[in-house]
Amino acid sequence: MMNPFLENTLPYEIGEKDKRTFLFDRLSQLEAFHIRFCDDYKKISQNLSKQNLEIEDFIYIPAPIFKQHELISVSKDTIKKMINSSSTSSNTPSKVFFDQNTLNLQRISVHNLLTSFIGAERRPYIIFDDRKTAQGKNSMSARGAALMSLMGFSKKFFFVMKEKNGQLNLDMDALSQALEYAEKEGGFISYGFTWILHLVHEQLLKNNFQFNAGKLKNVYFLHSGGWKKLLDKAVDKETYNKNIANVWNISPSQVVDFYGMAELVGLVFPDCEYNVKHVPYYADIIVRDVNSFEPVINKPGYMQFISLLGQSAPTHSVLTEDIGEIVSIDSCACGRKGKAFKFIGRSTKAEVRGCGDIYASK
Amino acid sequence: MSENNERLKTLLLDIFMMPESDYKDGNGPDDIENWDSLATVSMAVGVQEEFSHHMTPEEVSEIKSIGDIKTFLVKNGISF
Repeated sequence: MMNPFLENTLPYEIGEKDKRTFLFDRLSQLEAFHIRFCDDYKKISQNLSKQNLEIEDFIYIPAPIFKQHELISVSKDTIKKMINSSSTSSNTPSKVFFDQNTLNLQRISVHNLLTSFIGAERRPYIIFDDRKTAQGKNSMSARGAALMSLMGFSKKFFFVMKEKNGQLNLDMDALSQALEYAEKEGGFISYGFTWILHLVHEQLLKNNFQFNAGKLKNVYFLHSGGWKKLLDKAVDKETYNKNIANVWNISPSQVVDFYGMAELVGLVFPDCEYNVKHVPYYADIIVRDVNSFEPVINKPGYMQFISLLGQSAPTHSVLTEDIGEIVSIDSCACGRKGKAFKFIGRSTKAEVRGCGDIYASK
Repeated sequence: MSENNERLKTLLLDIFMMPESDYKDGNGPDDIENWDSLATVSMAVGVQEEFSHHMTPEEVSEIKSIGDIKTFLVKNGISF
């Protein structure tokens, strides 16, 4: 299989021009591979086929197709894991299949991408979720996969919530134990689903809970998942970050939102210190006008993601139902090269997605 | 059974919540019901705490059986 990674190259150090050349050749190979080995993809592509002159010309699969079809480009008996994406109003989650090769690419990619934002050091890992979320032999929810993606940074992990009767509750004893260990180790990372983390911090604020994590090194609160419920409650990103930062006496910049979805195998997009997201050299974003579907820059539209990591299933070019905007190319003040984009929200034309778990709707 | 084997056995019986009869070198995730991704990470953390040897993510991804865990430990000077 194709190796999408260049030796001794950091994810964000290749500028747009060189990246396009690198991507185009490999993307052509990958598209040919999926056409050859995935019958459903072949059928889809036959109807859409056109000459690829630019990256923008490659066929894209709308994300909902992964709900309707089990797209696999490798032998079924080599599949090691299936990730269920966020469930939807139609209660049909996407299914994305991984063989060992793609699992390895995913692990390496997520680790390298997050290292650029939170450093590579292994730290105690405090998880605002129930252990059950991450359990599962051959399949896992997107939420479970998200929290597992940080395990490579974990020295020891602590689940600090318990589910009872369908409700997640904070386990203060488990949290105290985790923090005691984190204090000894001098730092920690934490993850929670965006909405769950909000509920937890509402509770912590109500209980006047305070912890001085400001004295520790490398403390980060990462979160992912939908914002719809929060925006309905008029909680914007700034307020969200401040609420969490106040409880832990840290800077709001240590609260990091990252965007990802099951179909975007191995790609996560954390916010940089300038509140925009960056794309590594082995992937790309194309934003398409919501009416014409033509590529646009500095204008909101549907986000399409290109990725060389999509090898066990044709996830190499996926059009999402999410709206975003490319805001700069090779010029973000954080120094990361390539396109920088903002995630705006879910398309109002798209079906309502429930963010992969029942808690999102509570 | 060596002392180190007993230590590893106690650790894995606890992490994988498996009966003693499942503690065999050839057994891996396909044979042990509770050996999933989370249990694999728990195993790596447990090995680090019990034997003071850290597994890199690459090494963890190569563990396919109890025998592989022993091989990793032997490479790091733990005898069985």
